[in-house]
Amino acid sequence: MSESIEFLLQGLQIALRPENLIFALIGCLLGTMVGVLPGIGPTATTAMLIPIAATFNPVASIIMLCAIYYGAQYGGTITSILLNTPGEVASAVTCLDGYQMAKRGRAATALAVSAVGSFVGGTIATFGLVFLALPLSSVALRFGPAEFFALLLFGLTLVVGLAGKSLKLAFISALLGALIASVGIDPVLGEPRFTFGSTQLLNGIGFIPVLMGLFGISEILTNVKNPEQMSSPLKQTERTNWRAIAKTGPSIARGTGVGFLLGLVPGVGAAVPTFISYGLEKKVSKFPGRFGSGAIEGVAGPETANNAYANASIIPLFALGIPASATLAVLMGAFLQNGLTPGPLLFVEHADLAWAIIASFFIGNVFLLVLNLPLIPAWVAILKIPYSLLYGVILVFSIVGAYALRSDIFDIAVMLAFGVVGYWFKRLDIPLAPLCLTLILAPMVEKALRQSLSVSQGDPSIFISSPISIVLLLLSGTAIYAFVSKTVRTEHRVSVDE
Amino acid sequence: MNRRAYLIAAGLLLGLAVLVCAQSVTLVIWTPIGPGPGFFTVIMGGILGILAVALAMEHRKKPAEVASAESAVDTTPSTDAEPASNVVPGSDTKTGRRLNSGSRRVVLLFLGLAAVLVFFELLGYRFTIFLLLAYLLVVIEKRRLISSVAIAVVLSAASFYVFSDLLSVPLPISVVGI
Repeated sequence: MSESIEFLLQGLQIALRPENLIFALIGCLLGTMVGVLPGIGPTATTAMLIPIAATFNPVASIIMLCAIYYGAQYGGTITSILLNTPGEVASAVTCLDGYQMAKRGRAATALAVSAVGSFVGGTIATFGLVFLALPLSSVALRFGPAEFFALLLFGLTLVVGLAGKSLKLAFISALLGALIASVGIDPVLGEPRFTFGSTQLLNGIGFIPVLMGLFGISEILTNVKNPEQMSSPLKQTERTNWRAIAKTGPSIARGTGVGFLLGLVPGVGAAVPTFISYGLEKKVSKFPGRFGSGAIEGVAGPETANNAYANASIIPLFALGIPASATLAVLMGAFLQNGLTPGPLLFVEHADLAWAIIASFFIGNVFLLVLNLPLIPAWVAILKIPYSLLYGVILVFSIVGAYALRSDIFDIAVMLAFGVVGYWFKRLDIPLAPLCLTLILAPMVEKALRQSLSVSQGDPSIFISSPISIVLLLLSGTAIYAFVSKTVRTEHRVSVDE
Repeated sequence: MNRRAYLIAAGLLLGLAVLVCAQSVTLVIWTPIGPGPGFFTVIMGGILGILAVALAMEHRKKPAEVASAESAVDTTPSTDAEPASNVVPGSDTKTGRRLNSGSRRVVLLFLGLAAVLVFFELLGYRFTIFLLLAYLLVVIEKRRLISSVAIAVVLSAASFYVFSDLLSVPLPISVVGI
């Protein structure tokens, strides 16, 4: 451990050089902007900037590109809270309570708790990178398809926790999400499924246009319907409530744990930790009914998990040379282009550069906090723009964001269609959260299940052959049992009262 | 939200469930080593169908409820978020007008967005966004024509510059090359 600290301090000396500081700052700014703009993700931005970054020195280049990656996680939060339009998939869950906080005049508090939680989660995850990279990565490597299945099944059990008033409507929402996700090519056999001969549907229905439609477009349709609310559907009536933020310490701690641990597992994806964190916060809360109506813990936990995940997911890349996501795969390309090979040898052959990059993560997290906290009044000033003008701008952003994904008008059509779906979901009190959860998790669960059975030649005992999957399956069963028994007790109490 | 909306939703969900099941049985349901592509989707379609029927049953009208409901509820389909029982027939024309105008605005907005799909790649980004913004401001928001056109011009040009030139996002150009 003392050796790691020594290397880290040496890395800090390099990272604190003025040119590297400037590139970290540029990366944070670009990443935040990219996160704000829906549809224009860090993957595309990183890929576009690699040729330009190659003209800089290797350390500066990679510092900037990494800063874009974790900076984007925070940027996506801003539009989720202020406009109910997730800038990134991982920010979708923040719409559930963050936007509700903004509607209640607590936008500044929501943005501030996101900034603080992101800073704490990102910084602690970076400490984890420093001290725990190699030992934890070896555990993460033990995750095979069966363990993945158990982990994702545990994530899916959150559906019952996100049910809200009606379990029936929640399951309808969840089933629709899973069915939407099943359109395209079957992940195991490669067979077209629900494509109806359409070449566009062969690529599946992108979840970013779906989420933009469900949250952003539907919100616009709802607000346009009620012109008396158009003047200020959102209002800034209070300053940042630091006392309330201080009370979210336990949520931030839990979010850090969830995001960090899941960040070590390649292939989990950025959205999974946020949903698990949200479900966890709701489960441990004394007042779970507040969730969905502006519970600050519903923002603090997931946003912390989001950034902790982003920083921790770099660990498999550094320690083992395994990129955990598409953006990290692009980052790996940046490493290779600069003559650096991620993996165990990175710390042998280019120790000074590797530790400089790691040290820059601490600096980048500080930059994000310093940049975004003072900018909160500026972001919140957006709320002063008359909504009759603002929603046109939001529509433009959304249209560009959807089109930018694949330069295909089909994605705009998907976004608009799901805008209508989301509008009617709200009117019928059908919760959106289960649909979002299954939209992302269901194909992963199916793939992991079928891959596991493929590996075991159809033998289902593979799911109880490792302690990791046994523990996760038991957790899933416990969560379902707890919810069902609570529901039965509640219904029994209601019938007795009647 | 009135019962009719739930019944329509239940009908649509049931139709979707039937479609999903019908398509799923054309896929491989089971392979020698486990579920095939159609296995989970046919189960999900079946469950969705059951839930749709349950939803319809929950919201179906009962004879006793029809009698009491008709005496207190406006039979005109409510298009507002308020329950239909809050709207007394013929007593509040201003409320009625507001309800109808709200739905009209939604329909107009949707038509405008649908037009974007038609014209986006034909007219290009700048013209389409200009037309969309002008339409929103003039037709839906009923703002002044000159200021609305000016705002639309500025926003469409500025957004094209930011996205296309600065961020290198590929945006469509019109058939005339602008």
